Amino acid sequence: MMPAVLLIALLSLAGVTSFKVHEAFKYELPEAQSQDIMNRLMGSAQEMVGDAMFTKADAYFHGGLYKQKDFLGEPRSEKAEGHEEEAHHHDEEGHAPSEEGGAPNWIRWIDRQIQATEHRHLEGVDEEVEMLPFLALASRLNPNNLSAIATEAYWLEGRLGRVDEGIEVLVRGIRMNPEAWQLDYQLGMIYYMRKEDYARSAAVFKESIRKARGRERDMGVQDSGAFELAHYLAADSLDRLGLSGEALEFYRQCLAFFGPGSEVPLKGKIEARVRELASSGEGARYFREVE
Amino acid sequence: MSSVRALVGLVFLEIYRKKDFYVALILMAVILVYASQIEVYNFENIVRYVREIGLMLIYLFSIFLAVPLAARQLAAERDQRTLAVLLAKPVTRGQFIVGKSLGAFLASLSAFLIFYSVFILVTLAKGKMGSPVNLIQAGYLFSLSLLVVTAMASALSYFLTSPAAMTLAFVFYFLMSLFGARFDRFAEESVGLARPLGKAVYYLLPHFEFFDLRQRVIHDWDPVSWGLIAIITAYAVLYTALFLFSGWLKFRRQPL
Repeated sequence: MMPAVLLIALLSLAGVTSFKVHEAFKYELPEAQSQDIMNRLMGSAQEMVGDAMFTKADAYFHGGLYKQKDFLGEPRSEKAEGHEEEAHHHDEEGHAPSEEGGAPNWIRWIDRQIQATEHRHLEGVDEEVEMLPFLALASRLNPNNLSAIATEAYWLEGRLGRVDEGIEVLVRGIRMNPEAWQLDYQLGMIYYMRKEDYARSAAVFKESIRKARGRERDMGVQDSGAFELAHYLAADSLDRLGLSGEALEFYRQCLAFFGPGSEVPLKGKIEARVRELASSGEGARYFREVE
Repeated sequence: MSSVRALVGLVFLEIYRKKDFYVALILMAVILVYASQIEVYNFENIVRYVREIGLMLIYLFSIFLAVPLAARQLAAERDQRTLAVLLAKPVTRGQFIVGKSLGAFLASLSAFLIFYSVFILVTLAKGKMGSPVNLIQAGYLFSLSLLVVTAMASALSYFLTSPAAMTLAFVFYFLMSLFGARFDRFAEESVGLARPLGKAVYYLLPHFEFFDLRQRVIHDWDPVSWGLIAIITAYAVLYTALFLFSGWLKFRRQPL
């Protein structure tokens, strides 16, 4: 009896001391204070878990199949990523497939029947929401995983009709990754396309362009396209707000992306608008001020 | 037959006399109910993650109950000095092996069915139960895996000490459940002794991944054909018979 009482007393004392120490120093340890419970429990491992959750979300989108390797250790069909011509790994006729250059393997055949390996996607809001727990975990456990943040925001606002939640995810992502221009770009797209809030979209696109400037060499085709589009949409947002002079500036910057012989329809549209604005009073005034 | 039935009854009760089952049941229920209450952006119909967590817990807890129960039967009888009494007529050594293994299987099966019922209730409460055919097939195939794993643990206990049999049964179960389908690939890519060893493991050990239909339940895939279920049933029965026979071969001439 005595040892039990002593143990409880010692544990209580340790608990009270720990609480008091935490209370006394919590304002002097801002880093520790800012960490959430998951961070305290898992430390840096939480980023790895977060990335695993992102992979899991992708697997959920494909009916439980992982992108790199399916259950049988074979890559998921990339052909079927095009959606129209569905390429299936499994033998649809149900014949026992043979090993490469070897005898038919009945174990592999049973595995293929047990484990679904067809390529498919979640369809409709009812199914697509199933990814959300993993996307939400991924972006919270690893706040620097830009793909996870962008994907979560995309599904929320683009597919599930939760525009405000999508904006929240991006704003939080931008706070955690101040130099990630892609998040600003995506946020700008939401303000422009979904909210039609041109004041905000103009500000966010301009911010995105500012952050991306100087990093053009590192951009892939997709990023490069987004960078060009950010210029156009910033210009268009400003134009809609009646800020013709500044819009003209961005239109001209955008035109610089198109080569001299480029036949892109957008180029013609911008050129026409530039001519129109330049001849207007405000456009001309803006350039006089700049010069 | 009545001797086997009596042995089965004794083993069956053992699982409910210990706290392990109740701890597992409460833990599983708490985790499942908590997981099902989590709201993600106020969407109410998100259920697949609950299915995944639930099935993983059920499979794990059932295996964690089944293997020790099967592996400790012989050792427990020896420790309590009741083995000689039991094996006095009319219980033969063959009946002892079958009765103990079958008892462990039925006891763990009953625990699994209770876990499974809780799981079905929780997913029903979430509004999306999934295909009943998938649930039946998944439950049935997992029951077969319990049959094989209890026979395996039971057979190993006639060759090894109880803790060693338990450990080896767990190693074989998780090895084949997780990597069984890929073992031949590993073997193909290996050199030296690892190659024949990998091939031997691939063709000799039971493929526990055959009994795992979780992916189909969680992600609402179509059920498998009943013909395939029949093939896997025959596979499970064959392995069970082989394990029990090997246990009998060892035990029939073992001194008590």
